Amino acid sequence: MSDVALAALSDVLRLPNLIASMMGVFFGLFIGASPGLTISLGMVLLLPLTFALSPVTSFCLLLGLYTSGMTGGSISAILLNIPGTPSASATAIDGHEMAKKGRAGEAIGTAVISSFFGGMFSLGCLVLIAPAIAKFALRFGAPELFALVLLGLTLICSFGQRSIIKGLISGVIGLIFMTVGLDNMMGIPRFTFGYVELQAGVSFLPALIGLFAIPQILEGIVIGAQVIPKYEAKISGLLPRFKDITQLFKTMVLGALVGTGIGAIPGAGGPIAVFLSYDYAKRISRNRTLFGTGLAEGVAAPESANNGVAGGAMIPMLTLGIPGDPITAILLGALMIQGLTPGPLLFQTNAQFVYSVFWAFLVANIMTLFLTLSTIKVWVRLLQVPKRILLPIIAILCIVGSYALHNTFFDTGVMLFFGLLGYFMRKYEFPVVPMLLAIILGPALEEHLRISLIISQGDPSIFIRHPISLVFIIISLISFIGPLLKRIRASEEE
Amino acid sequence: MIAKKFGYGMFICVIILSFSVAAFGGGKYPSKPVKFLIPFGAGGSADVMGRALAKGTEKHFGQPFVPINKPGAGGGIMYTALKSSKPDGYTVGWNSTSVLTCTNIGNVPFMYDAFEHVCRIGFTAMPIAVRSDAPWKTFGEFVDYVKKNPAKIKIGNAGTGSATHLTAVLMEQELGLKVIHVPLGGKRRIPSLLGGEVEVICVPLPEAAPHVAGGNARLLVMPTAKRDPAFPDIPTFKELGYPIVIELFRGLSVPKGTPKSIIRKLEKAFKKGSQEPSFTKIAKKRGFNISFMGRKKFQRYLEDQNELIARAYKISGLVK
Amino acid sequence: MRRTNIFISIILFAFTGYYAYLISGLPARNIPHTLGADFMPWVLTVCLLLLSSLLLMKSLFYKREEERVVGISLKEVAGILSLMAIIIAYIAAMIYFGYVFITPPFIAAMMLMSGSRKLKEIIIFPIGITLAVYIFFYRFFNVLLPGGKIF
Repeated sequence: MSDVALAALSDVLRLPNLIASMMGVFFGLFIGASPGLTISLGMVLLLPLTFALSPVTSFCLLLGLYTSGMTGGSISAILLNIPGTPSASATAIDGHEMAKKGRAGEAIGTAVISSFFGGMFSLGCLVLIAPAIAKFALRFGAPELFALVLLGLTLICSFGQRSIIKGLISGVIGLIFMTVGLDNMMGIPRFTFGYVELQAGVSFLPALIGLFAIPQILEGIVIGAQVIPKYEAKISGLLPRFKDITQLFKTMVLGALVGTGIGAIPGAGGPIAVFLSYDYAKRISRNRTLFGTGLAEGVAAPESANNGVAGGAMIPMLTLGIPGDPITAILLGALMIQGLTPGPLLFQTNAQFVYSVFWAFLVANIMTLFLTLSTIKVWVRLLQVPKRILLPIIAILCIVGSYALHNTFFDTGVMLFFGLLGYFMRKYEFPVVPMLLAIILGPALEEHLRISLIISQGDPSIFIRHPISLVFIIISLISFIGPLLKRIRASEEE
Repeated sequence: MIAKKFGYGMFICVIILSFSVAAFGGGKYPSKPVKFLIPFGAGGSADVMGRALAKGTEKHFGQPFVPINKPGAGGGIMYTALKSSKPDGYTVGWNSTSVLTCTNIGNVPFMYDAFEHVCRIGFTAMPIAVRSDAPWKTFGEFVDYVKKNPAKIKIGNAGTGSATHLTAVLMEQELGLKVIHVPLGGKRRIPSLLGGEVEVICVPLPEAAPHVAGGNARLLVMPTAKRDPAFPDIPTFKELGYPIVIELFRGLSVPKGTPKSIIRKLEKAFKKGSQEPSFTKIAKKRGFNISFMGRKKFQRYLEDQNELIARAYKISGLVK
Repeated sequence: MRRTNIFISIILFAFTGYYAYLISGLPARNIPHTLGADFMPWVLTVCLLLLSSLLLMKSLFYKREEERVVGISLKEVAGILSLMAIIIAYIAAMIYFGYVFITPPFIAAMMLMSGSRKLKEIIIFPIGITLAVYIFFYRFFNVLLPGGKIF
């Protein structure tokens, strides 16, 4: 190990930096776990604090928040079926089922360990092969991104539980909602009925909270259904066993690969990575049919992917000075405030700082791992709180959180709208996940499609002429037609 | 038992709290925190500069500013919110050129004069940038190339109707060029340039500067009135003989009807805040030129820029 | 299930029609060589039309579908509406009176609805929760809570 790296390590291990890291991890866990408070919001709130701190200290703080925020989001997803961050929404599918079966502790444990694995894997990539990945990621232009988003959307077919038709309808309606708002390409408002607020479009965070949290509240209060998993005091099985973890190894590697890869592509985004990783884990798994019923693999795959995204998104940020996702965009801002110029020169002029970022990320991951593992019991005990008290708390957090996002009740209205919609969809057996996918990916699909066509001057063959986009389009076709064929074959055999 | 005590404690707290809230009303301005509305999302240039200014002005003003992001509609969401807030000085808007663009294109049903403008803090240049391996060494060579190859070169901008788009439109018009405008959006413009998807972008300087320093990009021309101190070698349009001066300015606005005394107080506080070292340091690092303009001067400046932008919209055919 | 599906597909047809009507009213503004603002909406309209017809046909002709009863009882609808009404009233009240004063009675109401009957509980928890959120959001993170026009 070079002297610079060691010097950076000893810098990161100084007490103020460790305290900053710890604080970041602590905040992040709460911010991630409460619906309505996002990691980006937390970062922005801490940003003015960093004006006065040294670059290394401020990065310890921010990276701590980033890493543990990702993990915190999955805690509420598992316990309450309410993803605290968009990237935790795939975790909710199997994680909450596990919790319902009394395995909440194990689910959180699996999530935390896979997150750690994903974080470490992406850090390895960041340290060893960042320039190569960044160079490859730059080849993702509009047509490639369009094809990638298309691939993400074809997952709708895999999530259409009982009926593919209903899954597709749910997806298409989600896409329709996302056409509301100002069309940035042409600068004209669409379907806004004259309301300026609607020009911002449907903010997807309130929509996400609505789709997941409001049905839980309605069902729990109005019908009195058992929406919160029973607390089981049995301590055994609270933590996943070592043997279980080794069995998940394959899944975690897959998740980490997908997460790091997609995280590194500027503008692709975390949610697409977690859903792709979930779907691929399902395809390669021996227990394919058990996915969605509370399988540890279904938690490990998206969780290792979402912390893989964290490290992946830092690759273009540090090597090229281009943020990989909205959160790294804020990190980049923090870097520039400190007077550091990210990009290839950073490695030459501020090598020690770059190493400090690596170490800080490592420390943040380790701290998150230990803090979360040691508090699993506390989190699970949350289920002991009686429903009549827990549900009003969730309701308040949702309402206040959606208001606080942009300081307007308009978003609260959006949340309630999607909440009611989600409730009726559940009742009439329309799956909710396809709509969520559509809401997350819809705007990007349209934008990249149209930009590609401007670039090719209206020639649609651009999607086939670009090799990366061609590959993704072929995979999309396969993953779209595959489930359809399977369904048809199954119905013939009956 | 403990729960009971705890509950009583809480109850007393609430009562005390409610009195302190009630005590906020009335009295001298400023007697409570002021909302500081930011027209764009977290982490962007507007956000970082706005938060830094809010922080730097606090001690000259006597009350904290609470930054609130209200992104959307090219700034229109924030301006609408600002317009409908009480004109009591407890809501200020961190404006930018967007107050002229989103109004002129018709995203919102009012113009820039629907507000009282407090002051301008400074501006950012929006240079024309190319990749460092591009064949054109000077702006002149670039113009010659485009004239020989009309409708071949792609210029990326932040969205149709944005300030960067307008700069490119004005250039096209004044120089008699023909180019393809690509509305890449804010996130994708640098990757698209570096990845070779577009040959040219018009981009705020702070975003381009790191890539120029890193040797990946070059600047051809500045659309500002004077050369930028950080890039003294890059000529302006004006020097080259084209009447294009368009700047990404940032300043402060309050709702119409705000008392003059309050506006003067804000103006004074922000003038001091803009000279605060914590703010100037960040501004310098981010390529934001601090150049304060008082209320009256800013008003005339806005009129000029508004005329220019309205003209650009007509040329581009976006507004009839 | 079949009958509900038929009903749903009819609602979807109506929605599609309304959406198509809205698209046709979009202002035209063209950038050469690319798709207009109305392209994607039209594609989605066609998709939704196709899918809802499929759903309708499947429900009409594919008789093997089991006859489960799904849906929502009138009592449930009433419950949902009343809870929604409480939430909306809460939000409306917050616009005028601010977060701190309105939240405790709202939480108390929700607790009553979910079966809490102990008076002490109904007094202590709403106040405690309100304050905890206030401290956590406002004092800790400096996130503005609804302020209210009067207070």
